[in-house]
Amino acid sequence: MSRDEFMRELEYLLADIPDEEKEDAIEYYRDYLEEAGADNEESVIREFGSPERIAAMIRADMNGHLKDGGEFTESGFQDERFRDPNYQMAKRYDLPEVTRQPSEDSSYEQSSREEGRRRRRKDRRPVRIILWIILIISASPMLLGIGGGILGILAGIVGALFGAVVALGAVTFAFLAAGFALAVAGFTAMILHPLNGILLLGLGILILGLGIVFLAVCGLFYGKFLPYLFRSIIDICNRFLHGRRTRT
Amino acid sequence: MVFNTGAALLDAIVLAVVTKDQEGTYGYKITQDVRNVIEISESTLYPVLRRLQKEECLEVYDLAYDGRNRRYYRITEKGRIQLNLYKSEWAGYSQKISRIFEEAHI
Repeated sequence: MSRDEFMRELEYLLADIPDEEKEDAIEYYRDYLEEAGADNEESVIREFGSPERIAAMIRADMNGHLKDGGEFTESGFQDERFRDPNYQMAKRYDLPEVTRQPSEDSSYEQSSREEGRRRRRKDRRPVRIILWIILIISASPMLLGIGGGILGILAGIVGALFGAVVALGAVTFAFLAAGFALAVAGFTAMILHPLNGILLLGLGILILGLGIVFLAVCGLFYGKFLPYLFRSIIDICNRFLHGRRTRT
Repeated sequence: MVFNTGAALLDAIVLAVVTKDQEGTYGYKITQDVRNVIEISESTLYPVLRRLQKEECLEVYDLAYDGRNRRYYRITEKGRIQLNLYKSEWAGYSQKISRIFEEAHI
């Protein structure tokens, strides 16, 4: 990069800083290159690094960074606050290997920071588990009482339903079977004792009729009531799980 | 060089270099003079000079040279006081360090 190129680039990079600062810096570096002479020009510009680096340095100085936190050493300027990757340019102004070192540093710092965060999260997990255990143990008598009660009630309801289902079926079947048997028995008995036989037949038909009534009740119970019951149970569960969305 | 030169020491060195010439000296020459003593890069000194100037330890003036303006740096009264402070601090510090090295059995 020639002197003119360097100065043009630097001027462009400093276009937005206050005029006084810019002119002072531009003048200094122009003077400097002038004094260095044509022979040294190239090596001096190479040591400057890049216009970007010089510009970053001037900006940092302007913002007071150099004064507060930075330090000039014989190996150049060092400032711990410039560890952020975005400040790579500004971090170590005067090291010849500008690009290598900061990236190593920043990646190291980033990984160590990440590790710290992970460690913190890991540290908190056992504490949480312990708190949960304590809560569960201290609340267990109450939980057991309430839970047991609810479970008992539920089991009772289920048992009653099951009983009703079985009983209704059994009664219907018994009526039908008994009615049919009595009717058959009455029909056969009519041959020997017509009156007894007719009585038995009449009883049988009566019981058969009761059985048919029960059959109808069964039809209603199994066909209508049970599906309705299941549907409403599922509805209630849904409402518990998804809030009020299923209410229609 | 194995030892770091801190900000204050670099300030002191620059101030001392500037006082060598009664009528002041200019950026390139200051840099070369400092480079004779410690290893600094060509670009290190601008912020230092600028800061010392803002702190009124140095003052600048332009002088025509070779058909153009050359910016000269000259130490101010405040700069002298500062340099004196640095000198006495350094004397004490370097003496103590030297003594402990001399007392060391190698």
